[in-house]
Amino acid sequence: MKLPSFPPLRPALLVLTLLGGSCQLPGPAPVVPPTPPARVPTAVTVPPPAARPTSPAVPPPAPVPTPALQVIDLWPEGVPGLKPNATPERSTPASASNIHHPTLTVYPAPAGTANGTAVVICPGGGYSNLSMENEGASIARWLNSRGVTAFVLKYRLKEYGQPAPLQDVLRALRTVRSQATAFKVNPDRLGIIGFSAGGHLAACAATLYDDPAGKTGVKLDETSARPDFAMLLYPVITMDPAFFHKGSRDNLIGTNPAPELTALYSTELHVTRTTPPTFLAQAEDDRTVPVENSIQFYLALRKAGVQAELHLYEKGGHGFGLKTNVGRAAEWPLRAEDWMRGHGWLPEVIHL
Amino acid sequence: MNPAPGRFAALLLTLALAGPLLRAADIPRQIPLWPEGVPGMKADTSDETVSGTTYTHTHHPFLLYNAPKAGTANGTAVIFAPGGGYVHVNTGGTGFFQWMLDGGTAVFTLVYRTQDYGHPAPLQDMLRAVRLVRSHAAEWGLAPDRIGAIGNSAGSHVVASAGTLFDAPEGRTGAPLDAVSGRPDFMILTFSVLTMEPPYVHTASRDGLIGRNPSPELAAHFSLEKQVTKATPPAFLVHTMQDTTVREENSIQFYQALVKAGVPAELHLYEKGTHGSGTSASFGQTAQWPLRCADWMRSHGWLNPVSPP
Repeated sequence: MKLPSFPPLRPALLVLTLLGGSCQLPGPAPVVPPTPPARVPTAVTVPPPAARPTSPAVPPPAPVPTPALQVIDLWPEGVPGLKPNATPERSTPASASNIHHPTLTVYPAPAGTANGTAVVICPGGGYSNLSMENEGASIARWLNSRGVTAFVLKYRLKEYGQPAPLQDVLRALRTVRSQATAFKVNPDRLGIIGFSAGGHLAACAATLYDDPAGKTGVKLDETSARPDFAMLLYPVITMDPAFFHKGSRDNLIGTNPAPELTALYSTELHVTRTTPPTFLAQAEDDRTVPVENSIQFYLALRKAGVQAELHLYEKGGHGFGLKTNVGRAAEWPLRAEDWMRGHGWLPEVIHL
Repeated sequence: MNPAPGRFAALLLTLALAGPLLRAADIPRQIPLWPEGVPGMKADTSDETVSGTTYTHTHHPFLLYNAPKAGTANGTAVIFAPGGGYVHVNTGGTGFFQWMLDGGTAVFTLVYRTQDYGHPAPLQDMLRAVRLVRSHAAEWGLAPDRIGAIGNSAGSHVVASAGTLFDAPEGRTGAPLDAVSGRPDFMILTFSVLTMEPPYVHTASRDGLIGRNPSPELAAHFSLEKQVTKATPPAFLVHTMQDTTVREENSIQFYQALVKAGVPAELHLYEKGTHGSGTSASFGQTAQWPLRCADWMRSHGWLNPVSPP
């Protein structure tokens, strides 16, 4: 299935939004955005993706048609550094690439179960594409089943390189936090979860949340972008050639980066005592991203006195997401839930 | 006329017929490790003592057998090396490993020699323990390739020594049992002492094993992260950030070595929990490490009952 795509209208849409008008695309009935946001999000209807099984302890959701999802344009004032003649984004429910207009897709926790915790989800894809289903929508549904409101981030990739992804993720956190009331979430319980290169982006958010590279000089920069907690799954952590993921490094900072860029985006070097509590899980047999990435970030957290939990399994490979046929690694969502509960971000029940 | 010979014959006949039914019950409760004589035993052993569950100045190391829950025996045996900083051995009763017994696994608690002897006595005792259990496996209803080892604190160093230095000459005494492998089939290392080098060394354990001022070679030899090879058995490790007695880096460095050597290993590092068994409910998720460990053992098939021959 494809998104309804109106590329020639996008520039016009931006202009109209800048003029302060409320604009809705013709076609299917538009979704009413939450009120009262200062800036009006663009309303685009998205056909709901196919239901997938979630973590082992959760029965597959019943095939009830879900309401259309709200998609928020992260830069209504204009994407910083937007490339001229940007070609259309390539998008399927499973994967997205060639991103020029980063967005957040909102998955509200079902009414009655919502506990006020929110999580921004950063799918992986080596800063080349985005695994929007396996590391996006399905993660959102799992979090929803735990009463957490989720936001799937579609961030800019290799077409831009740094600092665009960092700008996008920090803008996403600031957007949710500044509109917490409208989203019915607690601004002090806003976490981030990232997978693979999305784990690198989440680690950047956890360490570089105040960095000038993530600011564009607007008032919203004053809203804190610091996640209250971070969950990193088989994450890319470093740009150090000793154990980097070359594709992610090349796509983010180039094939021959200046030492300062390598250092800036080696997140293990920027952990301080204000870095948020972090949960990490990875498989020893990961041939894509060495498990040393998780270990180095954990060691940095430990050295800085930051609370962290680390689970490393023998098998699972890379990119296991919510797959259930990966042996012991498939238990990670239960461990993540236990960890969130231990910190008070989920109600108190411990899985056995 | 003395009726005893007739009754004795009747007893023998009963035992002969019932023998096969008594397999697990044949395992003695207390098993001396060195019936032929403890290697290098000191002349004066009068200070050997036990107070509660703490064994000090052990000169006659032994195993204490703990049977699995009735009807659940799976054929797996685990040798438990308790902690005690290489000063003494504190077995702490059965609390630490009750979950293993409940899951059908036999546990042999090892009371090993400590600072009175220093190296290589603890290694010799642990290797002898594995060799002894393995040599009796068929008779005791155990699988000879499912003999694991679990350690706590300094006991982990004992376990991991056997897992890495199982072929070291100092682990042999020339006895016939040396021909039986002393390598555990798997290792469970909890709140572990594993290195003997600064900055993460637990100095009290180092003092007890190799003295206050060991040569660099000796310290390196017993820094087990340096002794890992691809022959090291699969391992499960657990530690916590809050352990200020034995630093977590012991476990992390050892795990890094396992990864480098391609040895399958599972690592859980939790936030809460002071040094010890880690099972206090106040430690939150940490207290569930035995469940994770059982899951790990199960994933390797060690909790499946061994098919009868």
